[in-house]
Amino acid sequence: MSCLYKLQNIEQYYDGKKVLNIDHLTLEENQIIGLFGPNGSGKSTLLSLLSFINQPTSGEVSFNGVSNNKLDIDVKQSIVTLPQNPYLLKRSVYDNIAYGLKLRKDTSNIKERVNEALSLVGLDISFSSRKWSALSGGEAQRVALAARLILKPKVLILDEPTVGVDTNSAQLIKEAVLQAKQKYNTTILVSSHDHNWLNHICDERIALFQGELVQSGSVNLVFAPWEKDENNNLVKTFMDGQELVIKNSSEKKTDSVVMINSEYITICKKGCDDMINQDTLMGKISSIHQESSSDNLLVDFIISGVSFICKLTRAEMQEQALLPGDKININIDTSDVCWI
Amino acid sequence: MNLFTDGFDQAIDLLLSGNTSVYSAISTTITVSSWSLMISLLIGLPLGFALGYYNFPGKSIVRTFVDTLLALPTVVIGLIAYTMLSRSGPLGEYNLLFSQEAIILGQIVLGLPIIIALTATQVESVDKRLYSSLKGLGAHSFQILTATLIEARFGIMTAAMTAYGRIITEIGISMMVGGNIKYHTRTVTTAIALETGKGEFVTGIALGLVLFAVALIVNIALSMLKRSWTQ
Repeated sequence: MSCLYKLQNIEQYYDGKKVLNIDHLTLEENQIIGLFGPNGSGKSTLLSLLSFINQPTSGEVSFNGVSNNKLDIDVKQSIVTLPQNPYLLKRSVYDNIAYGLKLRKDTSNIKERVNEALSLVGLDISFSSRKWSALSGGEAQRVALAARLILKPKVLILDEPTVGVDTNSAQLIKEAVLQAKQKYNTTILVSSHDHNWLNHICDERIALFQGELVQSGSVNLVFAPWEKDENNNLVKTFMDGQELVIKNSSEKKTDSVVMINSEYITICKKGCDDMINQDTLMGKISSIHQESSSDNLLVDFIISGVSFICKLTRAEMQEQALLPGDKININIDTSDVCWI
Repeated sequence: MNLFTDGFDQAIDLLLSGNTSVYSAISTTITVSSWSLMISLLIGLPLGFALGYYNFPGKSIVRTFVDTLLALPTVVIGLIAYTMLSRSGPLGEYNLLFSQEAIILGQIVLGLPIIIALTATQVESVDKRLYSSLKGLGAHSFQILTATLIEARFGIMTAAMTAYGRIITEIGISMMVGGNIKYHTRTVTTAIALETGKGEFVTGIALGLVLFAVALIVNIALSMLKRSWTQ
C-alpha cells in the first residue's frame, strides 16, 4: 500500500482560535480510516482539509505526493464528501443521484448507473422517481451516499454518516462503504461517534482531542467530570455507582481526559477468582470483531452506558468463550495511563 | 362607479375593435418591460448570488446601497437616464433618447436593485448544507451558482415577478426618456397619463384595466409554472 495523504505542520484557526494542530500524519490508500473524538475535537475540520474544500491556515496537505495548491480539478473531483446531514436537491431521487455525474459531464448509461448506485445502498430502483420530500431520514442519507458512490471516487469522505439514521440504515451504509472499498478501490475516511460502527468498519482508527492527534489504534478516552477520593486520586463514578480509580492522579485536575490503551484492560467471564479485587468493574460485551492489522480480536464492552474497547488474542477468546451480551469482570490497569 | 363600469366596457370595446394605438401601447409595454426584465435577470442574478453567498469587506455597505436603490423614484431614474442619454450626456452619441432602448435602459436601472436585493436574500436563506453538499460533490463556483438559483427558484421567481410588476407599471422613465411618442414609445402607462390629462378618464381606466389584465396573465403563467415544479 502506498501513502495517499501526507500532512505536515498543519495548523487551522477559526476566528483566531486554533482548532487543529497536526505535526505529521500519513494515510494509506485503499483503507477505511476512522476518526473519532468528542465534539469540537477537530474531526470535521480535518476532513474538510483532506477533501481540499478548505485550505489549512499553515502547513501542507499533499495527495499522492502533490501539494494541495498544485492539485488539478480532476484530482479534486476524485475526492467526494458526504457531509454531516447532507442536503438533497429539491428534485427526484434520480436527479439527485445523477447530479454529480452531470457536473462531470459523464452522462453515458446514466440510468443503469443510478440503478446500480441505488442497489448498492439497499434501495429499490423504484425509489429513483421519488421526490426528495418523500424520503425518511435514513433513506435520504442513503440517497446522498448513492450520489457519491455513483462517482466511483478515489477517496470518499464521510462525516458522521450514521447520525440520526435507524439501525437498519446504519448497517446498509456500512455494507455500501465496504463494497465501495472492494469494488472501486476507494479509500474511505469516516468520522463517527458510534464507536461500535466505527470499530466494525475501519482498518485504522485515529483519535483526535482538542485538535490534536492523540494516538492511532485502539484506545479508550474517559472524559471529565472526575471526583477526588480520600487519597486525592481522580475517581470516575458510573451511573450504576461503580467507580474507576486512577492511580497516582492526585495532581491532576477534575476536568482532565484520560486515555487508556486497550492493551491495559483485562476482561474475564469465568474462573475469574484470581483477578477479582476491589477495583474490578462489571460490564457487558456489546460486540466482538477482528483487528484488521493483526489476528487479535477487539471486544467492545459497556460499563454502565460508557463504551470501552479491549484487545484479546484468539486463544484467550476461545478459552473464555466470550459472546456479545455476556457479563464480564473488568480490570483496568490505571498505573500507566496517558493524560490529555 | 360609472367610470369603472364604463371603463371596463370600453376596455373590452378597445380590445375587440383592434384599436391600433391601444395595441401599439400594449405591444410597446410588453416588449420594453420583457427586455428590461430579461437583462435585469441576466445581470442581477449573478450579482445577487455574489452578494448573498460571498463575504467580502464592505458587503454591508453594498447591501445598504442596493436596498436604498429599491426606493428610488422612477422619475428620478428617468431624470438620470435623460441626463445620460441627452446630446450633451456621456451616452449622447448613441442617439438613444426617445427610443424604446432608452426606456429599456432606464427600466433596467429600476429592476436591477430589486433582482439583486431579493436574490441575495434568497441565497442567504438557502439551507447552508446545500453549499457543503455541492462542494462535497466537486461542484465549482459556477455550478454552485446555478444549483443555488435552481434551489431558490420559487423565491427568485417572486423577485422576478416583483421586478416585472414595478417595471410594467412605471411611468416616470417611459415618459422622460421615451417621450410618449405614439406608435413608437407610448406605453400603456404614458397613454393613461395622456388620456387622463385630456379628460378622457374612461379611456384611462380602460387602459388601466388592460394593464391589469396583462399583469394578471403574467402572474397566472408564473403560478402555473411554479405549480408544475412542485408536483
